[in-house]
Amino acid sequence: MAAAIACGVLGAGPRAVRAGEEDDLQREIDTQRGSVLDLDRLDENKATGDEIAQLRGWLDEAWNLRSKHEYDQVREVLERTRKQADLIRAKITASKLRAQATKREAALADLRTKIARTKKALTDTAKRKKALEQGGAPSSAGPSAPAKPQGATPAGAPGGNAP
Amino acid sequence: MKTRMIATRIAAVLLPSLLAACATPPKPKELADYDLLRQANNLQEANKKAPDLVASAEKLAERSREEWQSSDLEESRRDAIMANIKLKTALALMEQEQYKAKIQTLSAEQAKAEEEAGDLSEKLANEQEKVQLLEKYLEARKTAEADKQRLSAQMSTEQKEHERLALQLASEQKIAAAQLALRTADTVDASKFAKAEYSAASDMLAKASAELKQNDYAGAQASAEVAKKNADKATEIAKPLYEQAEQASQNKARDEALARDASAINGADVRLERRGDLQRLVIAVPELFSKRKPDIAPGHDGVLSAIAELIKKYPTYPVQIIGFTDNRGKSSELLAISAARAQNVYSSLAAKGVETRRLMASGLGGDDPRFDNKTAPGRAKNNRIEIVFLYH
Repeated sequence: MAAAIACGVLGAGPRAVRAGEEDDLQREIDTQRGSVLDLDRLDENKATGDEIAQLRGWLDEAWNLRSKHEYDQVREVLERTRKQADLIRAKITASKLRAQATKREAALADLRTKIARTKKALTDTAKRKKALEQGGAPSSAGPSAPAKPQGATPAGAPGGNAP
Repeated sequence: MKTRMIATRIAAVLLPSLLAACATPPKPKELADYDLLRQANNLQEANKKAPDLVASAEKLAERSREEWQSSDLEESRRDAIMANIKLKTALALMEQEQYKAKIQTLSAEQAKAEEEAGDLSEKLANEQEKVQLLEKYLEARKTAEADKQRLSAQMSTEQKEHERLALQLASEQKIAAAQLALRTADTVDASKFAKAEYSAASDMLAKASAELKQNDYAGAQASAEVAKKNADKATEIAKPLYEQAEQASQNKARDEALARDASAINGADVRLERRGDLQRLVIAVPELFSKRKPDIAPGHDGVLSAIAELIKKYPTYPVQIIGFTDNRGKSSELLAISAARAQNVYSSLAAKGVETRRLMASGLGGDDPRFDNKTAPGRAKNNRIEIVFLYH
């Protein structure tokens, strides 16, 4: 009798441990699946489409391995998916920074264009002023209104494309 | 021999299999990808940013290679995947760092450019304001110049119009003066008494009017002046002639009236005579005196009063009072009686209010008998007084 009880206790222990481990792995997989959706939303520039697809594939693989009770392999795959998620986050941040840099480059280019136009307008205005001071507007100095650069903003105002 | 042949054949079959079993398997794709990734990127830069990740990746890749060499392909593939992930993460972090640095540089450049743009915009605004002020000034000057020219032209036009009107007025005044002169000439009937001058004046006046209509003011004035001179001259020439004619006409009418009034006096005979230039209206009053007497016989006061009224009615005529007798007696006596008779009539008329300076009394005696002295009635009628109105 005692031997039977001992066998029962010894036999039930590993089963309970295995069930708890399986639940933990399932939660981990579910949690990571949820975070994949978050990562997908975060990826506004769609820079990590392949990585996210790969991550989904690995999570599915982990799920299948869990179903086969290959827990060590599940843990190994989940470790990989965590690192993949880190990679995705890093790439999303990099893509956002790249977009920001591109925007700034464009804004700077606009600003430089504006500066060039303003310099040209300033030169034209100076010519017109000189002509007016000499007693009349020259026919080659352009329209009678003073030259004004396209898109010029009031003095001291920041560029329109600045983030 | 046979055994050797069998051994050779077995060796020929088994040797390739053994060689194949000992050869390295194909490199896992994941490991090949890692190597490519490694070659394509600057690992030194990635190592600076994430040395742990790069080191870990390299370590995993090395292990993967070993596993591959030892044909443990599954393990090799797994480690290569992890190595890829870590290296890619390291590269992504490096990329982040690069972009951050770039953004920082761009921000600095943008700030500098914005400052430059601001300065330039301010300068441009200042210059444009100056240009606008200059343009306004020039526009105002242009407008003022145009106004000045317009007003000058307007003044010039008005001045010319004023001068034209003054000339027109002067011409009209001269024409009016000529017309007045011509009307004045009309009053003395110059068209009749100074025909040439009057015609010349009329023609010149018509010419002046025509010239005025054609706005030839100088010509109109000159013509009007000539017309006036001619009209004045016509008046000057015609006036005495006209007055003479008028006077003659008036005198004739008056003489006729005088004759009519004289004929109406009862007890007097009236006749008209001409002696040289003189016209005479003779009112003979017979049987006014008694025989050989100079005094006026009674009963003749009425006829003398009528004659006195007639003389007063026509005050411009000189009047002779001539006494007559018949032919009986001495001539000297008859002259004295006739003169006395004339004097008495003179006195009687004076007494009736006739101005004596108009009267001349004389006696002619028996001269100039009007009736037959051979008969008593004839002689009685020759004893008469004649009141003579003299005129041309």
